[in-house]
Amino acid sequence: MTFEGKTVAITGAAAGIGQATTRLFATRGAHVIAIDRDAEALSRLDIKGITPLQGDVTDPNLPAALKARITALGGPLAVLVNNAGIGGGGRMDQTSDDDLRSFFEINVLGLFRLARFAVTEMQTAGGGSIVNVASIYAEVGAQNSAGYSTSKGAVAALTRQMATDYGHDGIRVNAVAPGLIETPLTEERIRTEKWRHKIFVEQCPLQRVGQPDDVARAIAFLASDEAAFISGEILRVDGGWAMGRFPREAQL
Amino acid sequence: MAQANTSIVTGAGAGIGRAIAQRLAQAGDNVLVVDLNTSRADETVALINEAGGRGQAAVLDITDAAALDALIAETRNLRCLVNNAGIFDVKSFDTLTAEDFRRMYEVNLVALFGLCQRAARVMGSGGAIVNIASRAMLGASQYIHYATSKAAVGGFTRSLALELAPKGITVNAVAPGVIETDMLRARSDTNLDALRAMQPGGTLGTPDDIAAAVQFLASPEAKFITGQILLVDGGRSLGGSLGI
Ligand SMILES: NC(=O)c1ccc[n+]([C@@H]2O[C@H](COP(=O)([O-])OP(=O)(O)OC[C@H]3O[C@@H](n4cnc5c(N)ncnc54)[C@H](O)[C@@H]3O)[C@@H](O)[C@H]2O)c1
Ligand SMILES: NC(=O)c1ccc[n+]([C@@H]2O[C@H](COP(=O)([O-])OP(=O)(O)OC[C@H]3O[C@@H](n4cnc5c(N)ncnc54)[C@H](O)[C@@H]3O)[C@@H](O)[C@H]2O)c1
Repeated sequence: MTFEGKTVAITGAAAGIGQATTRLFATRGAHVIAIDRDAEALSRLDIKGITPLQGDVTDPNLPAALKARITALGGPLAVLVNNAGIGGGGRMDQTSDDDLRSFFEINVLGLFRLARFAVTEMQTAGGGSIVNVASIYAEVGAQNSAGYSTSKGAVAALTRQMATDYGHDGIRVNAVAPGLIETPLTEERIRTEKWRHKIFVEQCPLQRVGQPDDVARAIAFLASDEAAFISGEILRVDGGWAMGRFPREAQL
Repeated sequence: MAQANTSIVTGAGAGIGRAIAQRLAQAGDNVLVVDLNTSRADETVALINEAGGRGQAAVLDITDAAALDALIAETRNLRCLVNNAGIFDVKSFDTLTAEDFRRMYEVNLVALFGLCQRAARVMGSGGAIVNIASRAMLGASQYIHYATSKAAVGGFTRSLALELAPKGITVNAVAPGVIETDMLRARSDTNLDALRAMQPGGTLGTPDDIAAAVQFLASPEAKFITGQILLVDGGRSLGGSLGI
């Protein structure tokens, strides 16, 4: 599975899943344009051959800035990984209009805008592949996650929508739905919240939380030619958690 | 040097199974090519060996319990089992018999269960089982016995994933859409262009498209993925495509 010489844009590249994905694509030969709003974290990234691009996915000018980097690298955009996103808890009655707006502003509109740009680029180039990072919360109900889950549900719907509309242009669009992954977003909560350990480790069939690399490998597979006939799919990377989380008899 | 991993691929004498066997062999596995048909199994083994891989034919019927016992008894270092052998036929609902159902389930489900059970007893942590379901599990007309047998493979896969997770064995399935095999090309009742027009990408799948997905799910790359049914159908199941 090589991306030798291919131009790949990854958002939220400075930490967690995005960072692991950036490293994996770079190892496999890609020219990665590593996008993140956190300039300082971006500058600390020690990955050979990447092109950092400081930018916020909520900025309408980000596509133009990305275009300039793609042109400078000389290649068409082969792959876009829409990974940047924010998390956060709260039931509906604890979620304000503004909370919901900020989930949608970043997790949906930011992704939508970049994907729209990528699709036009890929149409010109004769094809490409887009991988969105949804969440297992887009697939199953989860307590305390009204705004976040709704935004990730939109990402899942958009993934299928784009796959249907642009298949004829040779553009594949898929998503991964990670379970609980140990990243800067979650590591503190995994360590300190007892219930989280119980639900996501003890009740997870594979008995562990995921690592950023677990997700990165699935993203790379879906982005690659190995998945040439896969489009519109949402692949769960959750150790079987969502499937097996319902009360069940203790293991003998 | 560490002993090579062994993979068992059923129905590896033709189409999709052959492509899976070739890929796993290319990745360095010692591949047991299981098929009913001797000459087809030998042909797959020859293709593997010519390419520098290690393949070995195991000619047997997967519905034969004693043959499965013998197969597993002779197998060393089993890391991966791919249940690909399956049967298919077209029969309208009104003409279907209980016998048609039984025959379909005997191969597509009961035999698959038998082999999984035997394999799981000798597989260690890091083992992987990949079952071949079908997009037909979502519902298909003119072969309800086949479609439901494949839906059962889906439920089986998810349930077995739960049972084998404590042993560190992952269980996943690939559900192919329309794959252009020799058999499909030979069928007189299918118009390939009409099938292509129903695909968002305008093309049918190849056996190697399925093999690539199987290889990924069977590899350590997917070690945090279990109980999943991955549709490999070019987006066909998403809904309407204008067929531009
Ligand atoms: N960690 C999990 O358990 C988990 C589970 C399911 C889904 N996800 C999803 O995976 C993705 C990555 O999550 P993570 O855990 O690696 O997060 P993280 O917080 O560890 O890292 C996210 C990175 O994205 C950047 N970022 C955030 N908002 C941005 C914006 N508006 N513009 C540009 N960059 C921005 C951050 O600076 C950070 O570097 C998110 O979409 C998240 O919803 C995570
Ligand atoms: N071709 C498609 O479009 C398609 C679509 C969806 C699912 N599938 C599934 O993929 C799998 C492979 O399909 P294919 O098109 O390559 O099939 P195929 O008929 O070309 O090959 C199947 C092979 O399995 C062997 N086999 C059948 N019954 C057996 C038994 N009882 N014991 C041992 N070997 C046996 C046959 O001899 C043959 O070599 C099947 O499970 C099928 O249901 C195929």
